[in-house]
Amino acid sequence: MLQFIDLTKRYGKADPPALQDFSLTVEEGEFVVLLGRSGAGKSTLIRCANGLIRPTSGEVRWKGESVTRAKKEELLKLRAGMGMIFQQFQLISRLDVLTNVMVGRFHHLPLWRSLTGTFPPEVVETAREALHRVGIGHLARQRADGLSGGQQQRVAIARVLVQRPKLLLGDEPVASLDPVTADAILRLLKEIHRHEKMTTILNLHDVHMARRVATRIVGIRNGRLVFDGKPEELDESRVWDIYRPDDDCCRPFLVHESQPPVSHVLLRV
Amino acid sequence: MGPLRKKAVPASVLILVAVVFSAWDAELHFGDVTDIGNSFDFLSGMWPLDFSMADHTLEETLITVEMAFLGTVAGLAVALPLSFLAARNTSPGPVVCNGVRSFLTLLRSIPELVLALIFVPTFGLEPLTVIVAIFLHNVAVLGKLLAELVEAADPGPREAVASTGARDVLVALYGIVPQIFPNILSHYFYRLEVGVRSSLLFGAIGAGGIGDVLFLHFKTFEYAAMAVDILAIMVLIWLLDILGAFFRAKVI
Repeated sequence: MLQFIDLTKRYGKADPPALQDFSLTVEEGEFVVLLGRSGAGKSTLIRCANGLIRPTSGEVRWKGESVTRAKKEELLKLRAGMGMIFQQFQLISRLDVLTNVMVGRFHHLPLWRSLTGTFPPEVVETAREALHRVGIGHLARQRADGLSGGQQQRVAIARVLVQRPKLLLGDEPVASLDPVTADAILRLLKEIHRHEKMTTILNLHDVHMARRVATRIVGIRNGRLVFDGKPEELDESRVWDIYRPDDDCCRPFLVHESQPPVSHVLLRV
Repeated sequence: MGPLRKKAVPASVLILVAVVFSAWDAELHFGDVTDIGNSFDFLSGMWPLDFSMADHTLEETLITVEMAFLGTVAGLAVALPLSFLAARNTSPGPVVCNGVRSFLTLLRSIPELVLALIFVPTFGLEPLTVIVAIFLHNVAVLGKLLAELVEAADPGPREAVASTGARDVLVALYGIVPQIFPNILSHYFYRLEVGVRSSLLFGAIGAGGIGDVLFLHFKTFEYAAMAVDILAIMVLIWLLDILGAFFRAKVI
C-alpha cells in the first residue's frame, strides 16, 4: 500500500506549489494512471514516491514505512523495491544494453562487483532472460544509445524486471514514442502488471490509452486531486475538469465554449 | 557609426599614451634592432643539426614524458573523486562543496614552479620534485574542470540509477562518468601536454628531463645539438596531440 499524505511541494517561494495538500492511497495490485496537464504536478508526485524529490511537507508511506523520513540506508532499500521508467528512457548511453539492465541488481550486489563491473554469471543470465522477455534479447551487447526509442524503453523495463520491485513508477513512459510503439510498450507494462503482480503508477498524456490500461484513474490539476475513480467514471465533463485551461489563452483553438469540446479531441471520439 | 566614432578618438589616444609610456618606462632600445644579425648567427649555428648527442636527447625526452605522465595521472586519480565533492549537484553538502572548492582554488593560485621549489629541499633536484609539482597543480586544475563537467551532466541517467536503490558512488560512476568520459580524456590529454611543456621549464632548475639538456646545450653554445632537443619537443607535443585524438575517437 502506497500512501501520499497531505503532500505539498514548493520549488521556489514565489512559485505556486507543484503539489498542494495532496492525499492518495494506492492499494497493492492497482494500475493507476495519473492524468493532468503539463506542470500539474504528476512528475513531482511520482518522484515523491521513491524519494527522488522530498516534499516540502506531508509524507509518503510504502507498506507502512515512511519514504519521506527514511534515513539514507533505509531509503536505498525502499527504492530497491520500486522500479522506475522515464519519458527520455535515461539509459547510460555509452554502456551496453546488458550492463544497463544489470543496474537493476546494484542494490543487492556487493559494492566491489558494481564498482569493477564484474557481475556474477547468474546476474548476467537474469539480465539476458529479462531482455528476451521484453523482446530484445538479440541486442544485449549493443550500445544503449544506438537503439530506437521503443527499444530503449524496453531496456529500461528489463532493468525493472531484474530489480523485481513490488511497485512500478512510470513518468510519461510513452510520451516520446510513436502511437504504435507506445501501444506496444503499454501492452508490455500491462502484461508485467498482471504476471508479476506489480502495482503500477503511470503518468500518461493520452486519455484514451489511460482508459484502456488503468484500473483506476487519478486527475491532478494545479497540484490538487480533482478526479479519482474507475476508468468508466471518467466522463467528458470530468476530462474537461482535468484539462480545462486556467485562462482564456487556449479558447480560440477549441470548438465551442458551452460544451466540453476538448475531451472530443483528447478522447479521439 | 556616430557614437562609435565619437568614442574611437579618446580610446585611440588613451591606448597610444599607454603604449608610449610603457615603452619609455621599460627602457626599450629600438636601435638595437641593427644587431638582428646576431640572432641569425644564433639560428644558423643550429644548422647542420648535430645528432651526435641524439641518444641522450631521446632518453631525457622519455624522462620528460614519464614525469608529465606520472604527475598528471596521479593528479587525475585524485581530482576525479574531489570533483564530485566540489560539484554542486553531487556534493554531500554545501560545507564540503565550498571547502573543496576553496582548497582547489588555493592550490591553483600557487605557480607550479613555486611548488617545485618548495619540494627541492625534500626530494632534491630530481624528477620526483617535478612530478609532485605537476601532480599538485593538476589536482587543482583537473578538480575544477571535472567538477564543471559533473555539474553540466544530464541529470536523467543519474535519476535512473538512483531509482534502483544504488549507492551514491555507483550513481556517480554509472550515472555521470560515462557521460563525461570523452571530455575527461580531452582535458587529461591537454593537461599531459601542458605537463610536458612545464617539465621543460623545470629543466631550468636542473631537475632532469629534456629541459635540463636543452638549457645545458644553450649554456655551452651547442646550438646544433640544442636544435635537435627542440625538434624532439616539437615532435613529442605533436605525437601527444595525435594520441589524444585517437583515444577520444575510441570512446566517443
